[in-house]
Amino acid sequence: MSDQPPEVGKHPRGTMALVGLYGVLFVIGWFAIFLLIYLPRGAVTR
Amino acid sequence: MIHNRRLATANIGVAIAAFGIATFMALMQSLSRASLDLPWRSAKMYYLSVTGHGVLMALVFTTFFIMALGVAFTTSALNRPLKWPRAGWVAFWIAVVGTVMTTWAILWGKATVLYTFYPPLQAHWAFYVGVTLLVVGSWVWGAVVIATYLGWKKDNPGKPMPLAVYGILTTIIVWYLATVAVASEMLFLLIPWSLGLKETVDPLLARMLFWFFGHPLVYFWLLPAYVVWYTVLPREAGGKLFSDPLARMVFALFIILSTPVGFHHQFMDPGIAAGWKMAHTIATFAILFPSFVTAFTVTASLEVAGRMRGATGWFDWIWKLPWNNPLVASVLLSMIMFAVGGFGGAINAAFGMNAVVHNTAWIQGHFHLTVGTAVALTFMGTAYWLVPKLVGRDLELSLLAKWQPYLWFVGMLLFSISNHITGLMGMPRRVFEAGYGGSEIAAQWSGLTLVSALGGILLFVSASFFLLSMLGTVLAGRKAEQPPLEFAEPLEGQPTKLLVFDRVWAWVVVAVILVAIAYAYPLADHLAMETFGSPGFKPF
Ligand code: HEM
Ligand SMILES: [Cu+2]
Repeated sequence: MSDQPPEVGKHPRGTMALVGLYGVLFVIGWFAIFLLIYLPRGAVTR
Repeated sequence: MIHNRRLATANIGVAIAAFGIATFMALMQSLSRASLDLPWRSAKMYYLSVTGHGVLMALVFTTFFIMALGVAFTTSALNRPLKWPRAGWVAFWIAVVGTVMTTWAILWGKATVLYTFYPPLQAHWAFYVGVTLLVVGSWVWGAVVIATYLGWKKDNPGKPMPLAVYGILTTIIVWYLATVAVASEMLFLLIPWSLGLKETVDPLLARMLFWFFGHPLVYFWLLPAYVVWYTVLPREAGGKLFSDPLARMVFALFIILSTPVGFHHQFMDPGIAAGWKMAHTIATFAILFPSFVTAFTVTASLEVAGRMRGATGWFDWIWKLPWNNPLVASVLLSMIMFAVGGFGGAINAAFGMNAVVHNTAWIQGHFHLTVGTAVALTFMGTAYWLVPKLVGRDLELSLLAKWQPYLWFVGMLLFSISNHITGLMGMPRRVFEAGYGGSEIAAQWSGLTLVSALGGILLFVSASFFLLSMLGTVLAGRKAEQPPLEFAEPLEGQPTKLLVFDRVWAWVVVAVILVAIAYAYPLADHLAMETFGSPGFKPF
């Protein structure tokens, strides 16, 4: 498509960076709550 | 072009009215929870209000809005009117009658059972019959949309349906699967019991049926919002849809994964074996995947939009987006909020960790990000764009419409984050007196409940902006030709070939099998057990 700027057809690098960053924060956040709140309070063992 | 405009307008009108009433209740609740002494404050009023707010927001506002979207999107994407317009009106009126019955029962203090209506809390039969009628109305609506699609398919053999229709159709399928359970709960348990035909009810069976329905319910809300994200947002932002097949894959995955997950709401319930709870946990983590793909595809579409507006760097496309367009701003802010909500959801859904947050204010903080913002704010943004097209008038008070999403965002940040934190501190949800009569532990969270109340005030102002703009548009907007309802073009062009995702009925079969695996044994197990029914309780 000729009317599109050349940047459009490339890989969505900004998106990949953002989604990757979100994934990292997601995992860090999850483990933060797991390790810093859940385990110290005493996990359910059965 | 949009056909059956009056029907769509009627549905959206009821949706917005329900939202308006529920907003007043919300303000009162958030002030009450901060122990601010309002003249009419009482436990009875509080729970009446929370019931009304939950039902009107989560069941009435959403259902009517989705019915409006279904009509507007199907008829304009297929470019043909509804096959059975009369039945469309019948659906609307059945749902209205149901809503009036339910609302009457709540406001007259006869149905203070909260929007989950767990027995043994017992409501007046009009509450249950009303909710059932709302659902029956939505069934008829679904049938009308499906019939319209089938008529189109007959005239266009071998052609893939437009993505917007695909999304609406998956919404209806998820809804049909879900509502089988709540209909059984109503017909076999709650309605006979509330009429006095049965003395007792089995609370655990009712909860199983409720959550069989309750989780796909959230996808019933969310999928239409995703339809807007995929098919409307890219175009409004000045770009194209990054990938049409990826979007279809997402909707197909929701057909099969929406339902076999309900036990993640019942981790703390007795009577369900841990292994089954674990199976539902695994399916729940699987269902995160299509939402991640959505985050990717929609963001990539926005990147395309920014690049078409001339961006060249890694992130400068973000600033090139039209952040002052009410629809675009609403959806972008919804997506940010939903990203946070998704993270919280992964905590809720973890079998063990759920114990930390279960029934605390964290949950309330969580679902106000998901349904309360990702869905509701997207719908408000959609209304700014759709209502002018439906009534043929310019958007009125557009300055308010521009600011409204940002105000909602800030209000919700304050409201939701404070509730997440107080939840972790141990503050329960659904408590009238969060100060616990001056308890020391409760004193620790009193500052944060004030933050939450401040958030509630901002949310109320934001909602008022929305309502004023809508009212202004319908009553006083300048009559003018509006741009047609058009959907985003995929980057690679419209699909011409049918994909595996287009075999909708095959996905339905898979879904039914998965549901049977997830529920047949636990339900049979439960029914074989000796259970003791409970009589009804009416605390107020
Ligand atoms: C106007 C902004 C809003 C405010 C200030 C607000 C505030 C509140 C408060 C304070 C509660 C009571 C919490 C409790 O006692 O546990 C509540 C419950 C609830 N809200 Fe909202 N809310 C708002 C908007 C929404 C929206 C847009 C939705 C969904 C579309 C929604 C859905 C619900 C639901 C489902 C409940 C649960 C009721 C229950 O526990 O039975 N809210 N809200
Ligand atoms: Cu759920």
